Amino acid sequence: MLKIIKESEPIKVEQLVMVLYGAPGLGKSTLGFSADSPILLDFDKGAYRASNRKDSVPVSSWGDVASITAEDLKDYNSVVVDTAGRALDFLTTDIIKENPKMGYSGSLTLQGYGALKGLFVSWLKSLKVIGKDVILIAHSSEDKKGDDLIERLDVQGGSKGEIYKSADAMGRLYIDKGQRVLSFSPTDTAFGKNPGNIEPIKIPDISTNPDILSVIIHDIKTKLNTLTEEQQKRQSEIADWIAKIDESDTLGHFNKLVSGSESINKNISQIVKGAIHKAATDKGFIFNKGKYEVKA
Amino acid sequence: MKTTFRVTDLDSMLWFLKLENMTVDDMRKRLTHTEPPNEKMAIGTAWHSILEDPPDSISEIEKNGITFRIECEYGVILPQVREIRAEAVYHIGHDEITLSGGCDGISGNIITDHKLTFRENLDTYFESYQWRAYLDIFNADIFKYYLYCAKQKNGIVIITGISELTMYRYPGMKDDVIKGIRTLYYFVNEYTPEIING
Repeated sequence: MLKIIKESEPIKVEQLVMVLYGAPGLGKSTLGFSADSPILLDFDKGAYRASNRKDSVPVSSWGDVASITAEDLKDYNSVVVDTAGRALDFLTTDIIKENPKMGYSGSLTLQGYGALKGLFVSWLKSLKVIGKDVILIAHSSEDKKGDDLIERLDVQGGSKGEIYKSADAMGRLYIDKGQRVLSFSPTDTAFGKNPGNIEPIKIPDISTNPDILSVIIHDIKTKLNTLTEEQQKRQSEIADWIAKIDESDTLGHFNKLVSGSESINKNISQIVKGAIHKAATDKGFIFNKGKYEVKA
Repeated sequence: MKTTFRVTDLDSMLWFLKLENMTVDDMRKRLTHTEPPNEKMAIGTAWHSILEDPPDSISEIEKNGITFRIECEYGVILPQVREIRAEAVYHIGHDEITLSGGCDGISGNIITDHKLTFRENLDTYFESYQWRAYLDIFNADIFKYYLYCAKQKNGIVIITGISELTMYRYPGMKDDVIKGIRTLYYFVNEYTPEIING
């Protein structure tokens, strides 16, 4: 059943899921360890390479993480999944082991993929529910499309989509002029999600900035909550206009609304003008040379 | 010189550049809106019509002769304002381009768009100009896709899964929109000058 939900009070963003991706060897795990009180789930067996290594759990099967409890994680604020691709591989193996009919030659069937998506998404949600930020680390792969080299997450087929959907923020780590850079903005050749609306960040030496990712995540949450406040403000302003539009039924009313809408906050002007236009045309009026008139 | 493009024209241009088998004639048909709607488009249109003014809950519903059945549990937030159009003016050299688009819904600074799809490919949404252009035109910050994954069985459209993909305004987004408009504008000048207003 599809339920239609009326607008409700926006929820404060306290936890988020962030994807960090990039070529191997760029220091993604090291960056992950600079999150707020992190624990790293080491699916890739590469935590030892991180220069600022903190607590980590070597993972040899999905069962190792599925059995983790809130109590186990009580001393940590961030869970770093290194890498998300390997985590999904482990989950795939677990699903086929539990139900052989969901696998075919070691790969998942369509039904198996459905199970993979459901289990992975609910696992991420369970981490957020117990108050943890989740940092999904992924290697990138390069695909050639025409003349362009496209950089994408190196994660198995259909499950990649679940990571895209689950991510509140998605940043790419790359080298620019010998400097490591983290950018959340999408480009022609790379995906990104930039809820903080932040410019590319030059990643400083982690030894002198041991909490760099913690600061970035804090800034993104602050921005997301600012957007929530802005949404409430705009919704309220729009609601006032909608009430006036709903009461309008004559040419005079609509043309008065048009005059009034010329001087309103530009952030809502397009919405208000669009709503006036929709209501006026529904009533049979047409817009001509800056005002509404009766359709000839 | 002035002309008007629709946001969907930008994505048509994107696909024209990506798809080797899409011809100039195909593109011309899209830009002049002379391409007849196919079955999938008709299904999408019917589903959009339902969501313009939906009942409180939907298990099975019929629109335009098409029956939809929901075989999953999900809650969709009804936007404050639905089905409105807006436009913004951009300049390419001395020429003035109006970019026009109609969004499915908007609440404050969040735009909502409903996509019914028979094959979910999120890359297309990430790459799309749609969310970038709408965020720019409506001065919004967040663009939320509701994705309805569907299949057809015995003449019924069955929605098997519903999910969300959220995109955000980013620095340089307007420049990317202008780049798309510029590419389209050069194409139109060369191949379909008849759609330029003069």
